[in-house]
Amino acid sequence: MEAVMERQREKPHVSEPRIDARERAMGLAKYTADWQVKDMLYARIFTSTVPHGFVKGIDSSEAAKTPGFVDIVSCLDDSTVWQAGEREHERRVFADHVRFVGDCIGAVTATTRIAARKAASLVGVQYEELPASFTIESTLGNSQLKIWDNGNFLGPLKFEYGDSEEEFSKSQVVLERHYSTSRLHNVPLEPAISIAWWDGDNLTVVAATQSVHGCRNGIAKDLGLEPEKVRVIGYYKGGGFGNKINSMNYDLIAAICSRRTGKPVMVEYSREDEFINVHGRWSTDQDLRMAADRAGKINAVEVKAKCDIGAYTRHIKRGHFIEGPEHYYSTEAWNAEIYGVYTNTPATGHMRAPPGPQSAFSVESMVDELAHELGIDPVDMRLKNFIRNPPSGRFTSNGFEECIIKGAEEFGWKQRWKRPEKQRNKSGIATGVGVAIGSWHSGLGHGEAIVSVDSSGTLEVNTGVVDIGTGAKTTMALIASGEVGIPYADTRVIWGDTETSPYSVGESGSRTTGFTGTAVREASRQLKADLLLIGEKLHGISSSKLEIKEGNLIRSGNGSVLSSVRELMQASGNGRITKSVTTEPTLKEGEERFVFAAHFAEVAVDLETGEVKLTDYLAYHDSGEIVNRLTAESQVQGGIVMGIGMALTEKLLISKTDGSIENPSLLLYRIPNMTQIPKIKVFFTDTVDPYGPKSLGEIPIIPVTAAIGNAIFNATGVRLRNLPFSREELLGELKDRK
Amino acid sequence: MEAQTFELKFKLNGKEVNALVDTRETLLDVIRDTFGLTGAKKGCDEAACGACSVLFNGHAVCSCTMLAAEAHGGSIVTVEGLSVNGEPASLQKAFMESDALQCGFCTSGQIIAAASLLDNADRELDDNEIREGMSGNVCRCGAYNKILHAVSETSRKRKAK
Repeated sequence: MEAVMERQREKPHVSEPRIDARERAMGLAKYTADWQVKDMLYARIFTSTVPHGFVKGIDSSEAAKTPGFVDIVSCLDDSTVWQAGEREHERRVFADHVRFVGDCIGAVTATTRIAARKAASLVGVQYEELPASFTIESTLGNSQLKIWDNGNFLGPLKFEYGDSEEEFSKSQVVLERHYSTSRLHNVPLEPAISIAWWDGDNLTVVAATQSVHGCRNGIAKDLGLEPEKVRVIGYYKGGGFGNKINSMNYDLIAAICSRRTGKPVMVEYSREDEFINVHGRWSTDQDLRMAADRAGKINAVEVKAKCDIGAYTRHIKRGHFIEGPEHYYSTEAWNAEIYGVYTNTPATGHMRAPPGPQSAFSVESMVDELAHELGIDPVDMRLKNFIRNPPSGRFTSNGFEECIIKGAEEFGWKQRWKRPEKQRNKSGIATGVGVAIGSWHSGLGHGEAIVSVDSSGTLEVNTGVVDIGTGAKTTMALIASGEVGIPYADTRVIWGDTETSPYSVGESGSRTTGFTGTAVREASRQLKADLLLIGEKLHGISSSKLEIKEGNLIRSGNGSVLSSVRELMQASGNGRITKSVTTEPTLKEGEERFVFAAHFAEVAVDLETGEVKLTDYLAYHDSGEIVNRLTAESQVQGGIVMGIGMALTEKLLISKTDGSIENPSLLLYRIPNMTQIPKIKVFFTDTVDPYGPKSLGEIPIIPVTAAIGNAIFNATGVRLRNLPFSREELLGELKDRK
Repeated sequence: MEAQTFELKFKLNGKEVNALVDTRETLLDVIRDTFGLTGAKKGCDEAACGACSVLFNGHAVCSCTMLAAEAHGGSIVTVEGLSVNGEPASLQKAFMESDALQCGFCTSGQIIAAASLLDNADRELDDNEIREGMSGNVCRCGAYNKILHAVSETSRKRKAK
């Protein structure tokens, strides 16, 4: 703990409302569906009704009779490839080889959305059907099946560290368990939508994307255009959590339909389309082995996993469907063998920390099982084993220990945790507590920013962020405001348009603050240096003895105000001073940059009905320096809420007869509402990382399911190993025990 | 099915308005497309998310599953109608200051649901009453703790008056 104590914070905590809270709370923020474009047409997709086959014919005669019908496009006349849609294979925007019920075959364009929906429902499609598979087992067991010509699975991806066999044979305790997680959906509240129009060869797209630049580059590549010919605008969007990454097929469909009709076209997905046609999280079947000695030292972990990745997968790293425990625990050895298995079911891809929570669920449940087996307090078990440095080198900063120790203190773990059989059971309600930890990467990379100040002293930050709900605009404004010394209230942001803003990686992979924020910081420093030099000239005082605070130039030491930034600007004769900066921070050899968290949950289990209610939750995070406490806390709470859904209610039901989704509706796929969410306390360590603030958006969901599962075990003595936790399974186990 | 039209008259954010609408059109589509008030959002189109909530004669309803024609003669208030002289109402300010919103897509509906709950309560609401009352409005960003805080603060302040 001493190392932690030494690194004292220099700056006070910042906690500010969002820069655009007013627009969002007053209904003034314009989302894609809120755009009213003159002469706009509506397009509606039509999709496959068979799980696997070739499209042999399309009959549009009935559709064309619908009043308002304008155009139909399909796989028979457009073979555009959506390159970002499937990493390992060719995925067409309109599939001629359909691979799941709901695979997009074409789109109908009409003058109203009612007409488009009607006409799309009247399109007839003839198929030549092919053998299909809806489960991992049937894919691997069917030699006739050809979901893809070059094989029906990805992998195995293998990781190996140390001598696992040796460690397993010499360890005193070895556990073997099976865990599973379900297919899930991101469910952004704003369903997929895109508007496109052409002006000659120039394409404009109003996109609900997590990255305007990524979207532009993807569209340009797929349509064979120079990126400069494509403008993507995306000011406000209703969440994405990974399923609005870069360019989506509906952006391409809008562009294709607009080019054909010569009019602006809006492609709008219904909630059902969103569930079926936009990717969610893959499921996992995991066999784990863990070896430890009697004192609780974990020596080796082995993971064998098969993941149902649907008919297409957008996941970015080949076969990387499970993360190992290598960034949670220091073990002597570990190895993993991971398969991604294709099935004739909807696509999978990014969802908040793509492989993170599936891996934490199994590893953190198993560590809990091991602790119980050995009679060790689960928090002590983690303190004995958590990672201090990676095998290959060192972390740039590591607040893991502080998260576990202080989190346990704040939660009152020592007072609240008792061995399962000693937990209280009052009038049919069993209460218990659980802990789980997690880590996630915190990348660094290319950032661009333009920061300027005008003659009125207003600070302007121009970046290509889109602010999908992460608070990125606010974060960028606060970084600049803090660095230059101009009040947040006098700071404005330009964002979300490839025409006006420099490149940003956008909001995915927890990267915006690390990538784009670094450029904002550097540009702001340069801007401040210029202002100080103006002050030096104006007042005859060396710039090294000057500072800018609250919009004023002050003398260091005595703090006397010399002039305002506005006066400095006017004295300089500049209408605006602009700093345009590109940054490319890179880690030193052997360095790894990670964020860490420890979560603590309390549950109340109704032994009669099996209902699990979260009654308390606490999260302690190391994400380095926190730019804005208020929005950071919100982001952590949000990840936890999503994790609670994954633990208790969320599951895409896949039909055993045709692989279709049986619950493509918010009535049937239950995301948490306010009654299911307890008070969530959030704490941050004061860790200072040499490269600036670390990542935050994804890690909060990672430890949640295991923390809850471990609490259920603590309350009832029943270990649930399949997500979402089922009441039936819980009640069955409880009955067996009686 | 041929389109039939209907001469719709109702009060929208305090003003008498009328429009010729397709009888199949939902209130949500008419508010958004005909009257250009885009604060209410379409999240599910089946009254399962609450993003389209508006006040109908003082009570929150899902405008996505209500036909526009059903509003005939009634009073509709959307999130745009809550502000006072172009400034956010106290409930909206509470949402802003508490950070009771992230992506903002459900926010209009949350605020309308909260307004309905608070306007129709005769006393300060406790947390569980607010949780129950707001349970028809989902927030995928998970701002529930902060929404609860904003609504509860507003309830407390109103009753303190």
